Formats: sequence, structure tokens, C-alpha cells
Amino acid sequence: MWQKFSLYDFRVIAHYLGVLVLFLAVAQCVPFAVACLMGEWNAASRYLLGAGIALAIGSLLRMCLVNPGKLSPKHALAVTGFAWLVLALLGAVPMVLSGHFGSYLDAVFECMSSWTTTGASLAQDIDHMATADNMWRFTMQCIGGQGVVVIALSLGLFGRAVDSSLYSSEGRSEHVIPNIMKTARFIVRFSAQFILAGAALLALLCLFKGMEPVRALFNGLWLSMASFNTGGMTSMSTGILYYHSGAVELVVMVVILLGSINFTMHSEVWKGRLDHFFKDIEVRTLAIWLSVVIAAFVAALCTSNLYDDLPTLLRRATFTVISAFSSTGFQTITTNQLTTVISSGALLVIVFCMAIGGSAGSTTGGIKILRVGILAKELVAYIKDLLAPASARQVVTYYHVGRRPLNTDLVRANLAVFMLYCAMFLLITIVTVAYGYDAAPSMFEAVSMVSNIGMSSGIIQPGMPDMLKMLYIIGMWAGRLEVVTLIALLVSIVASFRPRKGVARVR
Amino acid sequence: MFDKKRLVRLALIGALALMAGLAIGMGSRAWAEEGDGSSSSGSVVVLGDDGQGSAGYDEGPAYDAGVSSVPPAQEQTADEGPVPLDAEGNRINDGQVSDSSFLYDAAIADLATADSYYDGQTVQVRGEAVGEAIKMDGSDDLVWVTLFDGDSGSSVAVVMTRDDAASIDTYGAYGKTGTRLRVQGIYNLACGEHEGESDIHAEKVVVEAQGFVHPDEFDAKDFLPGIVAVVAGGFAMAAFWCVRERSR
Repeated sequence: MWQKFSLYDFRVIAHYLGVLVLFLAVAQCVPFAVACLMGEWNAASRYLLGAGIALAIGSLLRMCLVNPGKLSPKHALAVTGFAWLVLALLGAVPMVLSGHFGSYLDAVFECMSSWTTTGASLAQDIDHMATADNMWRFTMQCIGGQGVVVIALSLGLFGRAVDSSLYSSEGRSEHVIPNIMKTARFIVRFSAQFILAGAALLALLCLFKGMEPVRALFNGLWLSMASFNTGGMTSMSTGILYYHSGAVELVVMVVILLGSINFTMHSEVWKGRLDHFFKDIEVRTLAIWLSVVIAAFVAALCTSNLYDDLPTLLRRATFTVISAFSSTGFQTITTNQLTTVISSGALLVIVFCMAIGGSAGSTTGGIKILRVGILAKELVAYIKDLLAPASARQVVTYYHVGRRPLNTDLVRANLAVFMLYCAMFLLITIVTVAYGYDAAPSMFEAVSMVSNIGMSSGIIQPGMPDMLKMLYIIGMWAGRLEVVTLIALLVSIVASFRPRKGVARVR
Repeated sequence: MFDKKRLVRLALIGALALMAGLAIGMGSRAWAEEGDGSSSSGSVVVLGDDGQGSAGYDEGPAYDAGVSSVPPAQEQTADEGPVPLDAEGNRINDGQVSDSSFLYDAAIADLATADSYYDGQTVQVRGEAVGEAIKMDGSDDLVWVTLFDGDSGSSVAVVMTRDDAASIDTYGAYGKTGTRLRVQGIYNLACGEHEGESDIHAEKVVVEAQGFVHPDEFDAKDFLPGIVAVVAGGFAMAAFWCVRERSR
């Protein structure tokens, strides 16, 4: 039986979406304040309008149900699912008025890319973008990277009406601390410390490279926000290459890695339990996977003769792989070099790297390395079963914050997510190819969108077809919700509106 | 539960709708691309003794940045088409090998999508200097300057001396239109000297138009829609609060 929503359910969902929209209004005060400080009056007026619209819509949505009860798991699923879309639609209002976007759809694409920390951009003339607009793009990445629900929980916006279902529906299954609200606050506090430390260091490096103090400060902050939250956007059209600095790349890599590791692992390390870190299936799988990918990518780059010396080759390859697996999407190999100089084999290695993604319970996207580790373990167990005598029984366990049994339900759930991701990759690749693009770049773009990476092989441009833009928006949305949440939500909605079957009267 | 027949019907309708959507989308794209030729830039001009192009367009007066970013000579070429060369008396030098003595008058967009054809060639590009001059690691004399082409939205990194960079009075940013430069230099698809970056090693930098600052001016009228929206939102919030308090 499919789960259905009643009218009451929709009113509950609307109420809590209203809470998140009000939060959006408050969040827009950040770019508004920056605009006022920088004397960017045009931008200030746009963000005032955006906040006002969000305030009005949020309040109206809350009126759908004045006294809502506690959020049930299905409500939590719907609130989280719709939150990303609603926030992208409303967050795009001040952006489209900036004149940096060809259409409202482009602005929605930009906002969805920011909220989901994808990092792909359809903005035009970024080099002349207002500081406030950039601040809004990076604020969205910061909130989206932590998770809209996590931030809302940490601020206590949902009051006592929530349980762990809301937290879990955002793709986070592990509680760093048993209490949900405390876990959310731990994540936010912990992230803020790393972001601020990274920002200070990067701002100093920018200053050293000859940037004006104010620009250095903002660039340092934005780079740090985009790195830790694995967003990958930059404030310049040439991307991270604008800084021409190995030191900047190094700091960015460290901040990316800190953001890409499971927050539970961070907590264990802070508590001094280093053995938990090194025994963890996720950490071990990640170490093996990254070694293989970097070796394959270096080998592929060697054949293309792109770099003259080994240190440069290793630096570029390592940065690209770390940027790709973590779903950050910074590029030190330009889009042009990706498509004209390096081999399609190297491109394919990056595609695999992006598809697998990073650590569960972090800011990264993709299928997640924990799932791959569990499925690999199950595969080994299956082969062992085939070779063992019929009477033999084996108990398979894995280590992830303590030893856990590898049961069928876990494997089924991981396999389902794995297959759904693959189906999304395939679908978007086929549609992109149908628009006349080459197969390899189409696959690259599809994986980049669904895994929330943001790297581009040149297809993502303001002039691309609107249908593709919409498809990529759905891809980013689905990817952020790990596909399964979105599908469950859509099925529930379709089932809710499906008319009931007529019951034959029995005489 | 779903009826199987209905499911099949729904799937068929869905597939047909998807195909129709794709066909419409592809059709519109094909129409949009109809008549789209290759880049108009990329004409080859031969370097004279003074390093200036002897073919192509004359230097002419500098034009204002932000007003018209298409050089006058390019406009002329587009209107009248290419003029056939008078080949009488020309001789082919069989011993001539390929080198970088030709000057490719390139658009930045061409370089952003350049293949190995442009690699190592002398090019001439025009664009607005944006951001700032970034110090080069390990060199006190050289800086990186980003040149931006407003028409295509493409950028290219240029390596130039501090003296050349000193001629840039304004770098493009919000509220600033940067100095417009014409740069001649060697284009590298993956520069061996600069860790594989795509760049231009500038040999000659000419200022075509000085930059200027145009800050936002405060106009209370611009804030009116925002104030109305905030007041409406505040009113809706207050109404919600009243209704909730009464219902308790």
C-alpha cells in the first residue's frame, strides 16, 4: 500500500515549510547587511524585496495550520524534500533582478546549485557581480552544506515538534550526540570553527598575493565556505585558478578534506579515539579508493603530455581528484583542457570518482564511500558463501564507530540507493546525448549534477537548452536528497491525488 | 493499489510525453543553431617589423569600454565580407617551417575553447582587466592579470611585467569598469613555465580605453517595493500570531 497524504498532512507540511521560508527571510539579511556596508544600494534594495517576499509567503504558509502537531516521519520527509525546491525558487528572486542571469530559470539553477552545494553556475559576468550577490551565493552554500534542516534544528526553529526523522530525512543517519538538537548544534559549531580558521588563513594568502584588504577578506571567507561545505563556487570567472597560488590550493585541499570526513569521525578523533578513525570501513575504503583513482588519473594524464614535470602533474592530479571525490568541484584543469588535451580515459576516471563521492554524514555528495564499502564487503561474503560448504554459516561485520553486523536490510537499502543513483546518471546522460552533445561530456555533466559536484566539461552554459537546465535542477535536487527521498515523496504525492477505486455494490 | 493496465497506460503516455518534449526541445535547439557559423575571429595577420599587424584592421582610435566591445574593423569585416588578397607576384617559400611569427587576432572566447592549433602561437586579444594584478610566485617582476571579454563572458590569464600592469588604472569589479587592453603575446594551452595553466605571455600591452568608476547612488525609490513587501510580511506575521494566541 502506498503512503498517502491527507489534506491535514499537506497543511502540516505547508506550516513547517513556512518556518523554513521565514528562516530564508532572515538569511537574506546577511547579503542585505553586506550591501549596506559596501554601499551597493541596488543590491540592498533587491535583498530587502527578497526578504519581504519570503516573510510574506512564509507567514501565509504558516497560516495553513495554526497549531500543528508533532512532525511524523512522512511529514519530515516531505518538508525536507520540498524545502530545497521552495528555497531555490524564493532565493532566486534577488538574484534574477541583479542582471547577471539570462532568465528566472537560470537564477533558480544557480540557487539550486548553491543550496545543494553543487557549484555549477549559469551566472554571467561574475567578475562584476556585487559583493552582496556573492555573499548570498556563498551563504546558500554554507547553509545547504550543513543541511537546511540541521541549521534550522540547531537554531531551534522547529521547537519541540521534531524527532530524529527530520534529521534523517536530510540524508544524515548518524547522531554524533544522542540528542538531535545537540547533534545539529555540534555540527554547526564545529563547522564554523574550521570555516573561520580557513577563512583567516586564506584571507592572509590573498592579501599576500596583492589583493585589496576588503577583497582579500571576502575572498578568503568565500573560499573557505565553499571548500568546507564542498560547494565549489568562486567569485571570479576563472575559478580557483584566479589566485595562481599553490599555497591557496593546499589550504583549500585541507579544508575540503576536513569537510569531507564524517562528522562522527571528527567527534571520535576529538575524543582521542584514534583507533575508531583508522579501523573505520569508510576511512579505509576511502584511502584505497583515492589511491587507485589518483594513480589511474596520473597515468592517464601522463599519456596526454599536459604537464612537463612530475611535481606539477601530481599536484594537479591530487587536487582534481580531491575536488571531485569530495563533490567540491574546483577545477585547476580548465574545461578546455579537460575536453581538448587530456584523454577521454582521464575524463572517465574523474566520472567514476565523482559518482562514488565522499563520506556519509559529511558535506559531500555522490553515492557515498560507506555504501560502496558495505557493498564490497557483501560481495566478498557472497563469494565466500559460494565456496564454503552448505552447512557453513558466516557472520559478516564491519567497523563504523564500533563493530556492527552486516545484515540483509542494510545491504538492500544501500543497493537500492546505489541503483537509483546509477539510474539517474543514465537517464540524464541519455537526455543530454539526445540534445546532440558528445557521450563523454554528457556523462561527465550528468554525474557532476546528480552527485552535486559542479565540475563542467563545457555543456553547462547560459545558452544551454531550458529542458536540460530543468533536468539538471531536478538532478541536483534528487542528488542532495540521495534520490530515494525524492522518489518516495513523489510517489506519495501521486498516490495522494489518485482517485479511489469505485467499490462495486454487492446486492 | 495500482491497476496494472492503468500503470501500462500511464507509462506509455509518459514515454510519449517525454519523446514529444525531447523532440520539441531538440527542434528548438536546432532552429536556434541554424545559421550559426564558426567564430568570426581568428583571422591571421602577419607581424610587421614593428610588431604590428600588417593585415586585418588598423589600430584606429580607442573605443569606450562598455559602450561597444566590437572593434570597428570587425564590424566592417562582418558587413562587407573578406577582401580577396592580390596574390599576383607572391611566391611560396618551400623551406618555410611553422613558427609563431604569425599573429592570430583572436577573441578570448576562441582561446577559452582553443585546441592545440593555437598552442604556442602569437595572438592578439582585447579585453577588460578585472580583479587585480596577482603576484606571481617566485618572481618579483611578473604579475597575472585576468582579461575579460564581456561579449562572450570568457576570460584569459595574462602574464605581464609590473611596468605593463602599472598602465592599468582601474580593475573591473562591481561598480568599476576596468581598463581595456590590447595584448599581444604567446598563447600556451598548458604552459610549461606556469604549472600547466592556460595563459598568454604578454609581449606588448596597449591601453585602448581607461577604466572608470560608477558607484551605486542611493535612491529611496528603489527601496519602496522592498519596504512594501516587508510591511506586508510583517502584517501577515502579526496576523498569524494573533490567530494562534486566540486559538489557545
